[in-house]
Amino acid sequence: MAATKLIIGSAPQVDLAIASWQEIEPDLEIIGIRLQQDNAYRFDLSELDAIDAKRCTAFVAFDDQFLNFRRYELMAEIKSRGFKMPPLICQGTLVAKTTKVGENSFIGSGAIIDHHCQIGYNVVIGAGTNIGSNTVIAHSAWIAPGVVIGAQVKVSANATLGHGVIVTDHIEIGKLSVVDKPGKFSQHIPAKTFIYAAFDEDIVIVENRNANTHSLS
Amino acid sequence: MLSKLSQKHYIDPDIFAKEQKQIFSKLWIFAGLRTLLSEPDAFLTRTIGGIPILIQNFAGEIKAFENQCAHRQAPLQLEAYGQRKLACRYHGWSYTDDGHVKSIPHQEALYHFTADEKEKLCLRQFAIEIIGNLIFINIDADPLPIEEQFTDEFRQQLTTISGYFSSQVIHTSVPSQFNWKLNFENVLDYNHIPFVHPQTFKPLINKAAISSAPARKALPEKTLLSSLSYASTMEMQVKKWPWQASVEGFGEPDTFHTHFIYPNVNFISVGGLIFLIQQFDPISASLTDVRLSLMTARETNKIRALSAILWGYLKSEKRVLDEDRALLEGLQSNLYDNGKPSYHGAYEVQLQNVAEVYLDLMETQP
Repeated sequence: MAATKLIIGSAPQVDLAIASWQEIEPDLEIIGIRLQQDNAYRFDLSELDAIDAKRCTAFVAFDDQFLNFRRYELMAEIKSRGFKMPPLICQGTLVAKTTKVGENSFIGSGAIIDHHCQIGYNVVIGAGTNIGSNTVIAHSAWIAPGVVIGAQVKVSANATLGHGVIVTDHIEIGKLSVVDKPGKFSQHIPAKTFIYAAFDEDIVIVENRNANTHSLS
Repeated sequence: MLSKLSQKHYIDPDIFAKEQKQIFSKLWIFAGLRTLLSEPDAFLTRTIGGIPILIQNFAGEIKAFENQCAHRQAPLQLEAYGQRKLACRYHGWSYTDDGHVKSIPHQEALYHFTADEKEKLCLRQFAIEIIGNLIFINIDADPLPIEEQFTDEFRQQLTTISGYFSSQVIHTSVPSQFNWKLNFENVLDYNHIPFVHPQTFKPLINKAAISSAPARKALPEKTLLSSLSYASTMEMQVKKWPWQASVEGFGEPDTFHTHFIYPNVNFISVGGLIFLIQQFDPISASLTDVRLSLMTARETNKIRALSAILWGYLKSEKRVLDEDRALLEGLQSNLYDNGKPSYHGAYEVQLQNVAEVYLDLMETQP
C-alpha cells in the first residue's frame, strides 16, 4: 500500500509542495488541503478530524505571514494531532551529508547547503539558495529563492531574508528580523530589526526590557 | 482668505535657521517615550533645535543633557535607544547623574586638571517634563512654563491616553523632501483625506466627519499658543482584530483619536488599540524626517506575535504616509520665492491660527 502524505496550507505553497513531493516520491499518494483563513486569520482544520495520523505523514506549506508565526502555529497544530512531518528536500538540491534538516522544513530545487549546517524545523529555503558550511538556520526562518548565505552564519528564529540578499561569513541575523532589501550584509542585524526596500531607514522594535542597543540610522 | 505665511516661509534657509532658534529652541518639544526608559541607564538620543541631546534614566529619574563630551565633543551615547552608563567612548570620561565629570582616566598623568577646573567640566542640562508616557524637553535657558504651551486639560488627556501604551514600540524615520510645517498643516486639514487617501484611509472614516465645516466666524483677537494643541475624535469603523481581547484599550471603540501637539507632532489612536506618534523633525527648509513610533495598547495577556502585529501596522501606516509624501513633496518642489500665499476657506481656520502664532513666535525678541 502506497504511503499517504497530507499537504496542508495556502494554495500556491501547497501546489509547489505537491509537485515537489511527486518528483522525489512518484508513488506517494498525496492529499492537498488548501486552507481558507477567516477575518481573524484562523484556519478551518475540521477536514483533518477524520484522518488517522498514524496512517499518513503531513507537511505544512504556508508563506511568511506574521513573521512566519502563522506557519509555525499551523505546524504546531498539525504536529499536536500526532502526524510525523519529515522535511521536503526537493529534487536537484545538494545538501551535504553532515548537514541536518529539521521537521517540516522545505529546501527548494537547486539549493546548495554545505557541510555541518543545522537547518531547524519549519524553515523554508527557496530554490537556488546557497548556504556555506557550519551555518545555523533556526526554526521558522524564511529564506527567499537565490539568497546567498556565507559560512558560520546564524539566521535566528522567524527571521526572513528576501530576494537579492547576500549575508557574509560569521554574521548573525537576529530573531524576528526581516532583511528584504537587495544587497550584501556584513554586519550583525539585531533582533526585531526590519530592513525593507520601501523604507529609507532601518526599523527597530524597542522595548524597555531589552538591554541591547539599537541604532536608527 | 490669504494665509499669513508666504511661500518663502517654506523654502528659505534663513527662516529655517530662525525657526530653530525661535521655535524649536524655545518651545517644549516631544522627545520620546517614557515607556522605553524604565530601566536604569536606559537612554535615547535626539537632535532638537540643532543640539544633540541624550535623555537617560538615572536611578529612576529621567534627565536630559547635551550629548557632547565636555572634553572633545564626542557623543556620549551613540545609539538612538540603548542602555549604558553615561561615559564617553573616545577617552573614557564618565559623568555623574548631575552631568559633572565623575572620572577621567589618567587624569594625573595626562591632563593635570585642577579640582576647580574639573568641577567646571559639566554637561548642559535641559528642562524636562513628562506628561504620562510622553517626554518633552525644552532647551531654552529660561523655559516657557509648560501650561502656556499645553493647557491643563490637554496635559490630562495626554496623561490618560498615553497610560495605555504597551512597552514594545516600533520605530522608524522617513526622510521627506518637504518643509516640516507642510506636514503639520496637512494633518490639520481633514479635507485632503478623500482625495489623497481614497483607498487607504477614507473607507474607514464616517462620511459625516468630512462633509461639513463650521460656519466662518471672526477670529479671536489673539490666538493663544496653547490653543494649537488639542485632542479631537471622530467615528471610525475599527476592524475587529484577533489580538484585541489581549490588550486593555483606551476609550470608546470605533473612535479615531487625534492629538495635535504644536509645533510638530500628530499623535493618533485607532480605536484606543493602536497608537501612532508622528513627529515632523525639521532637518532643513526642504527636508523633514518623519519619525514614526507605533505601539498597541498594553497587553493583559502576552501576545506572542506582537512584533508581527507592529510590523504589519507600520507598513500600512507607511502606505498612508507615502500618499501624503508624494503630494507634499510635489507641493514643496513647486514653491518659489515670490509665489502667492495659500488661500484658505472656512474649514482651514486652524491653519490660520497656527500661522498667526508661528509669526508671533518668530518675531518675539529674546
